[in-house]
Amino acid sequence: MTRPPLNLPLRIVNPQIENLTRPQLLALQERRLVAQVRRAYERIPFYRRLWPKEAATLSSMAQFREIIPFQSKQDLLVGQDQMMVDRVASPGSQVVSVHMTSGTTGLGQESHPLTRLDVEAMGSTWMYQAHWAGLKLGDAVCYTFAVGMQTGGLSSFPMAERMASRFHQMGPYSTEKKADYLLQYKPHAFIISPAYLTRMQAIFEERGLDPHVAMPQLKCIFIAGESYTIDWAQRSMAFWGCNLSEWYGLMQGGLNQCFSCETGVVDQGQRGHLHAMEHRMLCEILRPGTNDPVEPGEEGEMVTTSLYREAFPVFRFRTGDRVRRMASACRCGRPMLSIEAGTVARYDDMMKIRGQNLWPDAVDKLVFASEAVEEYAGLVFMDPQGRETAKLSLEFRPMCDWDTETRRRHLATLADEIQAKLNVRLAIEEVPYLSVPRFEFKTRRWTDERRAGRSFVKYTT
Amino acid sequence: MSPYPHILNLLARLAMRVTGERIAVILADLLYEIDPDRAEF
Repeated sequence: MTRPPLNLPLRIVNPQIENLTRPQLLALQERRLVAQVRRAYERIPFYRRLWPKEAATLSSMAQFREIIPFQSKQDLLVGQDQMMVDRVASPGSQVVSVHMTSGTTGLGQESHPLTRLDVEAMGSTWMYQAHWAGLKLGDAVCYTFAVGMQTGGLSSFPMAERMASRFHQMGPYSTEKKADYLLQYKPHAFIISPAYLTRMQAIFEERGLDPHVAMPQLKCIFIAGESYTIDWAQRSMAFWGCNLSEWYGLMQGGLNQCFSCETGVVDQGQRGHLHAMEHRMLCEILRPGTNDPVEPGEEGEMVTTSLYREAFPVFRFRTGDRVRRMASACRCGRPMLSIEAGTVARYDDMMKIRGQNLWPDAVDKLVFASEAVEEYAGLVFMDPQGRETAKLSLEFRPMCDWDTETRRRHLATLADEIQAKLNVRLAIEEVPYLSVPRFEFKTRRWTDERRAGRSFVKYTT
Repeated sequence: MSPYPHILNLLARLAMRVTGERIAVILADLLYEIDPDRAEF
């Protein structure tokens, strides 16, 4: 399939990369990969233990794929207490910051040491997305993600600094207050998750606000973290009166690594491209269950390698993220590999609720801790106000002799425990026996209505 | 693709040492972006 030529003006940030041919870009990537592997083997004890000695003289991409093993989250979680000795390049620059992964996976939080250069580099890749989306130096940007020790919030600062933007970090404030600030500061762009954007739209509608009038300066909304339908994207763009630009990234890969270009997340009714920063990282997209690279148009697991991180680069990290490699080149003509916008998801069916990752097996563990419980069904949906809501319908065993008050107290305690351990508040109700589904094989207790399309948007626009 | 004509190698490595470090880091990251001959900061 060949799409018609791009009629939008290209916003080239860095001609030294964007105007390379595909073979030139791959040659650059290989040179940087070889240098990074040799350096890591020489300077980082963690890799000297993990890798064969041939890594010290690595000479090609092919050899890299032969001798460098994959890494998983579990591999990185083990031995973190020795991080500053074991996982910092030496000789090397001073570690100035430690960013953590979000911890909402339920598997544990990784800590990643960063030098000043590592922090600086976080802003470099963001420049591509910001410029491609039409932002200019000095434009105002509002950021809605929470700020703590996790990289999702901390990375916003070097990103904003690089664009010399008037930056408003709204993460700690309520949704209502964030809406107030959007109206007060009138940013040229804001950064938000797709589901939260739907919630923000509901706030604006409740107040009778039209963004075309209230925020006419808005150029773009940057989104990440969840999949979405083409219909949802088009309705959102129509409501807000601007384009959407998506990014894909993760701490282990060096942060943000794939971006929408000028064509956006929906291009002529089809899903857009997210272009990989292949001069700074290696993206391998592999078939699940094998280590074979996918063909263009196929889905596979993203396996990422950082080519530029100084303190502790991560190699061949198995993300568990399902991505689709685009079948054809983007109309923008850039040489980078690209993945499909709007369809990045996790293989393990993890659900993201109000910004928190919720794993079904983590809920199972807490629900079935009591022998009085027989089964449950989980439902995630958008309530009439556009808020992400999760509900458990729970059945007690027939032989459970608890009275009504005891059962009510148990459900309240369970809801508190789930919130304390998983950071998600679930509404839990008792339902009659045998009213939730039973399964013979591969039980799937959860239904996520958001994945069937954004019904809230459909009914309110 | 033509190379950037003023390949900056200003690269500060001066390293209130702290300012030299900051300038060097900014230049090193810039050179990593605009100098495709640069593989190794």
